[in-house]
Amino acid sequence: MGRVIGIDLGTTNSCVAVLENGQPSVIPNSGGYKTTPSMFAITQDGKRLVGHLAKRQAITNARNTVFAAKRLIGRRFDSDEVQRSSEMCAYEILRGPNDDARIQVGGKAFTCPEVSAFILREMRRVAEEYLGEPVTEAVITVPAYFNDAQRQGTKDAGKIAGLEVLRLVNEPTAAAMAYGMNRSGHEKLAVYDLGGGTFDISVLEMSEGVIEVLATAGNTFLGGEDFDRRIVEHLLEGFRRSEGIELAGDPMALQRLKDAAEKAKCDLSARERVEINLPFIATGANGPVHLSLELTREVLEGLVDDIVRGTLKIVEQCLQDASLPRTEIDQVILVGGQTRMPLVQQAVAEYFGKRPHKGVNPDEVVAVGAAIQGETLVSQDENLLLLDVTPLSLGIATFGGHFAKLIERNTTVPVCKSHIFTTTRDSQSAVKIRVLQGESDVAQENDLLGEFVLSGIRPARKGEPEIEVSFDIDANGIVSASARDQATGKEQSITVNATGTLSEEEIQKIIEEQELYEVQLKE
Amino acid sequence: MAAESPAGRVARLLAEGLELFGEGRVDQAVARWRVVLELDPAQQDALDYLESAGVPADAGDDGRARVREALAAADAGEAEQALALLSAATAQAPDDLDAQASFDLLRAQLYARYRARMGDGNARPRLSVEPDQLMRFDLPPEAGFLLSLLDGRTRVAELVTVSGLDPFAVLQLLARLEQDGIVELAA
Repeated sequence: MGRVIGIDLGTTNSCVAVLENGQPSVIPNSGGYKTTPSMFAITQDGKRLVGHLAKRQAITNARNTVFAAKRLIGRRFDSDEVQRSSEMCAYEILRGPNDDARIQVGGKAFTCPEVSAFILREMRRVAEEYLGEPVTEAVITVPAYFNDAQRQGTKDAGKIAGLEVLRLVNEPTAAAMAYGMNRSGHEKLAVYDLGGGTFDISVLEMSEGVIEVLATAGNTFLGGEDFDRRIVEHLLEGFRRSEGIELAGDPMALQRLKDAAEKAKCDLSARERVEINLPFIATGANGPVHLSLELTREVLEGLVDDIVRGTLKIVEQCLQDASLPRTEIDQVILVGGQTRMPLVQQAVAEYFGKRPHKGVNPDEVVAVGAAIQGETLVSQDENLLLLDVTPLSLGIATFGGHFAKLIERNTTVPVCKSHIFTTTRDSQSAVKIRVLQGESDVAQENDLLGEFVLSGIRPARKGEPEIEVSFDIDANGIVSASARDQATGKEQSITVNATGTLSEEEIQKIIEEQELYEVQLKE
Repeated sequence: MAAESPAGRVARLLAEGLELFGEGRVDQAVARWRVVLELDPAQQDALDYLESAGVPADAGDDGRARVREALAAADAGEAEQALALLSAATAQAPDDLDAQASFDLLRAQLYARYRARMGDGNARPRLSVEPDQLMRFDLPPEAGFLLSLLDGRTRVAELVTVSGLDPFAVLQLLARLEQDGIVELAA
């Protein structure tokens, strides 16, 4: 049997780990890095780049470099998130035939699972190179906030990359699993996950090897990249004032500024001040012009303080959902590279009244947890049982445009629940079941996952027929729905392929296209 | 030839032209000064030197003169100078197929030379001066950008890919940086 790898498919960076002799190993890529940028690009001469190479030309080739595809996967084109991304990205986002978001680079439109598959394939290749054997099975992590369509899209990405996705695991849950490896007793944990592009907070309960997620919340548009952006804006403003030169429209300068900003941010986690030197950044009237600015930790903290405070508001919401005061949290785990920042650590410590646990590497812990889960599934180890929750309420649209919840958010999965509904008109012979996910009482304000029709209802006065609607959410968070006429026994059911996800035929076509491309590369 | 800003290049070309002129190598001296005028058509020193040499400031419509000067520079081993002159000649007379052919041939020769120097794209350039010493050089923004990509691990072929710059320009720039002792090439 092959090895199962754990992949943290991050918005900004991805990481892969495997268990070796019962101990987790994070696998470095050929450059020696333990994380790989989640970026894909097509160069002017048609070369496809993934990871570090793609990142290094992300600004000079912005129109053909995809980043943060994770923000788009599983979303409808006209959703607020896709429209917001469209305003922020240089690459073009198009409406797909399934009303999904597609990404146009290098003259070709890619689906979001396709783009994520490039990253997953790279992580698979890194693992195979390290292990010296083929890898076909993986556990992949997703943000706890991901809905059904986003999870399905991630699974599709795995399939395109040639991986059988044994399980999708919520990222904070995976972190808790890594943390809980050698722990015993009973604890309530808060997992504060601030990565490159997304923020998640989860409240978990660990008891003698059993992990239960009590509540989860987050923001898919908040992460370390926002911190970098503030620094770049600060540098641009400083240079504008001191030299009277505008660099904002210069792609080469912006690439250097972005790289320098990220490095300075990381350095300031260990130092109080850094020098940012970018020689020959521009040409002035008297020759070359250099950027040379000092950035202090104090200034950086002033630039980003509102972002950090914003995360704590989301933490507050999560604790309310869990009906838990912050004082009852036993341990706080920090996940994600951005949590290395002293301001973040201090804010979290002040909020919870205790210092966050720093015994796990925040960049790698999610992948480690995914690898542990993979081993658990393969060995069917009962010692570490994972219980997860659905992050969003699930229900159906009812008469008058209302939303009837069948499964409340933060309900432990897997779960199956039923409810009896009835007709709204005399002699109504069919009902359309529209499956929705979200929190609004107004049906159209929630996400439509799918719909189906149950017909053949025996003629009766309105309100008399009894239609049992059942929902099933599996351990991956994938939804199945069914409706059954109690009188006739007639039943209709669907595994919800959320609107906008790929069909089996589409997935197979993409796999064939990518295999053909790989063959061409070898030639 | 150094990887340098336009102002630095003008100063160097003027000085080289004077030296060549003093050695009796008039065609090559004229070639230098003509390149200066390509960079700065009103550059007075170049105009004065050409007048002293009894040569018109502008080769005029005679693109052949430029081509002859370019070939003279190439014969003297001044390939880059020759390329600059041929570039000017082809810009002035786009229909001159001979000039274009000479330009293409010379560019290809130089590209092959740079590429061989770069280990066929496998060399891994790295900075050979301390970063805080860089500012004593006179370099254009493209050089600054390219230098920012060097880490001693990235191969030249990858630098060409990620820089987004013309491959010839990247190799030419790296060759100049190496010549100036700013960059060293590791296998």
